Order: sequence, then C-alpha cells, then structure tokens
Amino acid sequence: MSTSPNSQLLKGSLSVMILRLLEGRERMYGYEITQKVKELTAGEMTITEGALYPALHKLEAEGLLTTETQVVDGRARKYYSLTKIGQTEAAGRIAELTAFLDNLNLVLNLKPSL
Amino acid sequence: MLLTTDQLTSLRSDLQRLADIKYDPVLNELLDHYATLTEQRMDTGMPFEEASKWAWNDLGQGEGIQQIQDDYIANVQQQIRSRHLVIIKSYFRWPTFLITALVGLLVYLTVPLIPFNYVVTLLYAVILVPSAVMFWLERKLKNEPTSQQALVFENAAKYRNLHLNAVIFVSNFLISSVGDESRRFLQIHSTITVVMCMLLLLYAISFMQLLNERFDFRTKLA
Repeated sequence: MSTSPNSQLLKGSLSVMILRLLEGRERMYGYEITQKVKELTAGEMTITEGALYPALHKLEAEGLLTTETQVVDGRARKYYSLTKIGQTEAAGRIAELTAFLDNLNLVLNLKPSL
Repeated sequence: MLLTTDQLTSLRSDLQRLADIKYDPVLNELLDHYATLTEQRMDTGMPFEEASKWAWNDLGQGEGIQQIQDDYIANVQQQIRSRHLVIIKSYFRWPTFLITALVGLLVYLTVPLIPFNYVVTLLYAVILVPSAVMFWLERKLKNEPTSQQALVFENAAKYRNLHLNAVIFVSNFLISSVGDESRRFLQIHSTITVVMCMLLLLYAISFMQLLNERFDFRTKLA
C-alpha cells in the first residue's frame, strides 16, 4: 500500500477489500484491482504491488481465491476469482469489518461529556 | 498502445536481471503488471524507455519487486510444510502402528537365523533405496521445471542431508555392533534399528508423495 498515513490502517483490511471487489465481479487481475481501488476512492487510496500480490497469494493459499491464466496482448495474465469457500468467507469478513468500523465510529464520535 | 515482442523481452529481462525474479508465476504476473503500467504511460505520449523507467519505479524498483518474490517463496514453502505435515500425520494410524510393531517382532525373532552380513546388507538397502529413489525423482522432475517444484527441490535437498546423516548414524551403529557378540547385540537392538529404519522410510515415502502431488494440494486444501 502507499506510504501515506492511512497505509497502516489499510494493512489489516486489504484482504477484505480484495474479497469485496471480487465478490461483485467474475474475475480480476492484479493491475485491475489497484486501478479499481484508486477509482473508487478518487485516488485517495492506492495499493502498492508489494502489498497486493502477497495478499492475493495468501488468499489463494487459503483456498479463498482460484486463478486462471490467459494470454492477453502477448503476455500471460493471471486472473483471480472467488472460490465457493471464498464467497462465504467474503460475506463473513465484510460483515466483521463493517461491524468493527461501526464500533470504531461510535468510539471516535464519543462526546467529551460522556 | 501495445508493446512489441522486443519491448516485452526487455521488460522481462529487467525483472530477471535487476530484481532477480526467477520463479515463473511471479515473473509472469509482474511482467503483465509492468507491461500494463508501461503501456499506460506510453498512451500519454511518453517513449518506451521513459515509460518503462516510470513503471519500474512505480513497481517498487529492484528491492520492492524482490520482496514480492520473497513473500511468494515464504508462502509456498509454508504450504509445502503444512501439506507435508498432513501427509505424515495420515500415516500415524492404528493399523500402521500395529504393522510396525509386528514387523519389529518378526525381525527380532528372525535375525538370529540370518547370517550377520546379510542383515547388515539388508539394513543398508532399506536405508539407501529411498535415498536413491529421491535422487532419481529429483533429477526426473528437474527436467520439467516449474517454480513451485524448484521450491520442493530445496526442501528435498534439506531432506537428503538429513537422510544422509541418518545413514551415517545407522552405519556407525552397525559397525559398533561388529564383534564377538555382534549377533546378540544386533538381536537386542534390532527392534530399535527397525523402528529407526521404518521412520526413515516413512519420511522418505511422505516426501515422495509430496513430490508426486506436484502441488495439487493447493486445491486439496481448498
């Protein structure tokens, strides 16, 4: 991820972001994922390749992602998609992170008098 | 703007030469990313040399790119170890224990009936045959190299060292038993020797099974 101040905050949620992006699509490749995140956040959030690929490989090793390689423009392109387990796990992890963010919001919005 | 074959070769060479990327899956994946970034820049009118330089920096340069490969290796090796452990655990079931105990008992009873030299030769064969098979398998698989198999070879090399050490240990054990009371000594210790040989065999077989799976375990884990 980028070296911006929010990079540490992003670290723990990168895998959930990947799962969420793949949840809505049939398949995506690495570069496409980085561009999608940039586009969705209007350039506020950037995922570096050094963070993206290890995360993708780890999710693949966990059996949550499956891959297929296709030759595009004269080079091999590796596409990632969710496995059945990945689909179930994605829903669970997204719900977990959403609940965490809701709770975090409650704490951050705490009024001084309380 | 699509890259020409020569330009793609140049980018591939950068990854191999400047970042020491040697594993195919990592190389192919990074090449695609590198090429896409370069093409994106060339679309703005930048020449190939400048665009590829920009893309190289964006990828994290040599050190950053190498880190991706290091993470990949660590990830695959972790999978290999996990799968190997699963295979070894699968052998530790009651029927295996029972057979091992029965074989041990049988050897204990029959050793006095077999000439000493035959027993020693047999034990050497039991220990050396798996080593020979491992060596043969490794050579055979090296002719069809893929990156993941190369990682197994690394583990195989570690295993072979372990195996050779065990062979030396058993050899010393057998040599120390030669003497007037060698037969009785061998009989008393035959069970221990057989158990040790069985463990060595078990480890060798588990490794052969791991090599034979050719990383199909990736899907099995899922």
